[in-house]
Amino acid sequence: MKIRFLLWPAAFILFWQLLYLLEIFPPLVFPSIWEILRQTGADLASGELIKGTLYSLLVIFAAFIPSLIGGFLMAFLSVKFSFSERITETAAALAHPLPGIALLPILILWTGLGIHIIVLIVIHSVLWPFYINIRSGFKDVPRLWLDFGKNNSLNGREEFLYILLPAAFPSIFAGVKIGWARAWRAVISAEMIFGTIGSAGGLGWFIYNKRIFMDTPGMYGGVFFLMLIGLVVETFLFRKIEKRTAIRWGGTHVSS
Amino acid sequence: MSHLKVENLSFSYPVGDGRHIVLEKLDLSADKGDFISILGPSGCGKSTLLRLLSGFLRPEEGQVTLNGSILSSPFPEGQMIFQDTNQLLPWLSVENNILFPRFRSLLGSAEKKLSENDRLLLETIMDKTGLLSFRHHFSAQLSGGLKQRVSLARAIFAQPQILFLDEPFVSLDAPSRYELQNLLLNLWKKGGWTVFFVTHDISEALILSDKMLLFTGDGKGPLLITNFLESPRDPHSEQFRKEKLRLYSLIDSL
Repeated sequence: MKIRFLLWPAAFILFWQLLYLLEIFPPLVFPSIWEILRQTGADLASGELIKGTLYSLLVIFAAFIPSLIGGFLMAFLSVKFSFSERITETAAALAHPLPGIALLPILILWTGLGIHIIVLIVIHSVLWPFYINIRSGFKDVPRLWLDFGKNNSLNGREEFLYILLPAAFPSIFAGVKIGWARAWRAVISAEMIFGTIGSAGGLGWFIYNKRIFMDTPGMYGGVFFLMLIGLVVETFLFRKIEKRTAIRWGGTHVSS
Repeated sequence: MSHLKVENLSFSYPVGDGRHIVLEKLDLSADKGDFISILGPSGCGKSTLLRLLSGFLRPEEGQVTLNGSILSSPFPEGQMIFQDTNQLLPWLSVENNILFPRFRSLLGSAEKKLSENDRLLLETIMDKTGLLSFRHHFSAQLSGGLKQRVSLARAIFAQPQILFLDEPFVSLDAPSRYELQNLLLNLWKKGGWTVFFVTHDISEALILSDKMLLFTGDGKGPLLITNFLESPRDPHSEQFRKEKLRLYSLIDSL
């Protein structure tokens, strides 16, 4: 598995270097892979790249926690009460397709400038997929398992902990995966548009800055580093969790 | 001693403007250790009756009493086994599925906390149901027949007084079905539970049960018939065939 994990990046690097050697694009726009690696190494060594990445990650986690709580709450209420289901379903239908960036001017107008703007945009991008997946996870629990719970006199707390939650887990986890991808998109684009407030900037700002200063290899390095994060998290975290859960449990919920 | 008693039980479903009557003023009593098949064509109300007996449905009129007290909800002393082979909890191993009804809050550490008696009971049941080598399997890795074995083991480990079985073997291939019928019979002989077994298969009812509740589609009350065939019952014997024909003609004439 470790070898397969490296297969695609290796193929990509070869392809890139081939394109570079063919000199189809000017080297200023399309630098060699070595130059990119050298510059990325320098950015790693200076701490610039790491700091930017950690900063973006911090924003994502700051947004993940309230979104998970909010998503759970909304899903719980909508499963329990048809009245709140109508509200949350309408809200999700209206808000989910709306790109977070479209909220930028409104958020600035309402809440002023600050780092909280980026967090709010990321919350918007992950709250809805969280809610939708958690809700459908709860709603799709087979009646058979609930009947089995009733047969054995499970109380409300036990039914939630021992049946609903594990039964909905694959769907909830799929929501977290979607949320993770959406969060990166949102944080990178918000940082690029918004730039930096104060001294710190995230990975999006790093990439944008590199372009401004015509450090093309560093810019590519930032993008590749972002892709690498995605690949590593997918291979070494998400897939591991899925192997232990959804796939082992029958794979009906497995989604990529 | 009669311990499950049905008195004056009526039940109907709304259909369009009217109601489709499934049961009307049914009286029935089961003694401890009875094996009663509920037999009839599809859609006649067999499963509805089972859900009424097991407390999943409330009667419109009349009542079901267990050892003298009126049933109003499902109860762990009456374990239900469904037709659907997906009734096991897929996130739990075979062993933990079996432990769940009684030890759900201990799963993961249950092995350490089981009493000597319960551990012995678990091992015996897993052994008798042929599940010892599947202890750590998950239901997705099991065949339909094995899954129903686990369901059976799970119900038995819950130490029930009554087993409610809703066509549990209907989706299995013939050999597994035959195997599981025998397994159920042998376990029942030792366990002494009262069994209600829903089936639409006359042969299955004749092989398994001592009493049969014969349904027809016309909404009139089902007929209680005693099975006098001596066990072990051989489906190829002359007597068996005669009895089967008699039941067929009963269903037709009703």
